Formats: sequence, structure tokens, C-alpha cells
Amino acid sequence: MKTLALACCLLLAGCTTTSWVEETNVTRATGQPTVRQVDRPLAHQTLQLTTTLEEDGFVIDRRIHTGDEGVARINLLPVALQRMVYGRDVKLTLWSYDDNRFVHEDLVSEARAAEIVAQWRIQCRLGTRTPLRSSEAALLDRAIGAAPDPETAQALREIKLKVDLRPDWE
Amino acid sequence: MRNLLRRAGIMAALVACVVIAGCGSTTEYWKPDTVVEETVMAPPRTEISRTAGWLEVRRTQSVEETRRPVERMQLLHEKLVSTVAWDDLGMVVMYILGSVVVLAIYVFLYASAWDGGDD
Repeated sequence: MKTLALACCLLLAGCTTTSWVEETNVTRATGQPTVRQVDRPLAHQTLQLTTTLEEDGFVIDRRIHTGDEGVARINLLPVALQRMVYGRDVKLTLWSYDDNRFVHEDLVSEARAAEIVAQWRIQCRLGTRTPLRSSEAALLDRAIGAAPDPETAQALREIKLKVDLRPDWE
Repeated sequence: MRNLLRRAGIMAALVACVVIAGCGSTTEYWKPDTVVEETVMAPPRTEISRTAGWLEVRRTQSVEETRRPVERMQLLHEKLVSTVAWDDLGMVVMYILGSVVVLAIYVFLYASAWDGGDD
């Protein structure tokens, strides 16, 4: 008995109190509910960007994701380059995997392509790097050769100096 | 009489240990909280804007948000727990046993190899 009591005392000496809080599902109302309509951003949604399939198999086909604010940004320069190189209007479509439908369609014409190149030229002069994949950078080289006028060719050369090559898987 | 007192004291200590080890408490209290419920009012919407060579796609959905101020019941548990590192204790015991075995083997081998000290 004495040994048992001693063992218990020793064991108890190695003990300590602990506490934790358990949250339950039991609630009680304390006031009137408030109702409001909000536009919630749809974050982390997946969109498929596709352009017109060209005869040689060239197509811009990639997945993009919306950020925390529900916004996704698409660089239009590759689409404009496709229009310049292949010489016909490029249809750009956005497919939403979450809605299972097309959410946007756009047609990049010759004038629109020239406008995009002009905008990127200004951006590059201001120091912005142009993110392009290797296939898109090759398209830029071809677009310089196929430029309709010397001014556009010069703009494309200026853009080329600021190209930031990105891996195809990115 | 003295033995009786000692036995009673030991018994009382044992009972006290058991009571302390077994005791614990649970306290209820209410904490202010807000329950938010959302009801989808319209299908997802896509807004497109073009800025400086970029196409910006903004995806939103109109929802009705209901916020109910409530108090949520929480339970505060308090309990006595052991801080003895039983795993380490087992390791120490195994070390001691291992040492005893190694020492025994050493003594056995030494005794076997000793020829009695006769030159």
C-alpha cells in the first residue's frame, strides 16, 4: 500500500493541467440578420484560351487561372503576332471549365493587331518586359519579316529587345 | 495507534492521488460570432477589359449574403495529463537491459578464457 501510494505520488508529480476549447454548433441569436447583395469574385477558376488553328498547326492554346480577386490577364501580343504572320483575322475564345461554356469571343483584326503592337511598343519603351514562350518568340521573328511596313517592323524589333522568354509549361 | 495513523495517512494519500488524477472540468461559455450564409442570385458573370496590350478577364457572381449575429457555445475542457515521456523511459530501460546483457557476455567470455591463474 505504501509503495503504491508512493508510486501514485511520483506519477502525479509528473502531471500538469491542460485546457482546450471545443467549438460547438449550438448558437443563439443575438440580433437581427442583415441581408445584402454582393458581387463575389470567383477565384481560382480555370479558363482555356484558344486561337484560330492555322494551316501549319500553329495555335495558341493554354490554360489560365483567375487569381484571388477573380481576375486573369492575357497577353494579347502573341495573338496580334499570329494575325500579322498568317495574314487573316484571329478568333480568340475563352472556355470556362467551371461553367462548361464559352465565356468570351474576340476577333483580332489587322487594325487591332497593329494597335496591340503599338501599345506593347510603348510598354517596352517604358521598360516593361514582354513575357513570351519560345514558340511565340519564334513567331515574333517571323512577324518582323512579314511586317506590312517599316514602322511596324521597327516596333517589333523594339519589342524583341525586351522579350522575357518563359518556359512552355508555365 | 501510530501504525493505524500511518496506514490511514497512506490510504488518504492514495485516494487523494486518484481523485486529483481523475478530476477534470468542462465549462460552458458563449462567444459572439457571426453566421454567414450565401445564396447564389445569378450565374457567373464575365467582364472583359483591354488595357495596354492585355486582356483582363474578371469573373464575378452575384450572391445574397445574410449575416446573423449569434453567440456560439464553446466548451472549455480542463484536465490533468501526464508529462512523463514514456517513450524515453522505455528507451532508458532498454539501454540498461542492453548494458547488463553486454556486461554478462563480457564476464562470461572472460571467465571462459581465464585458465585459473596457474602458471
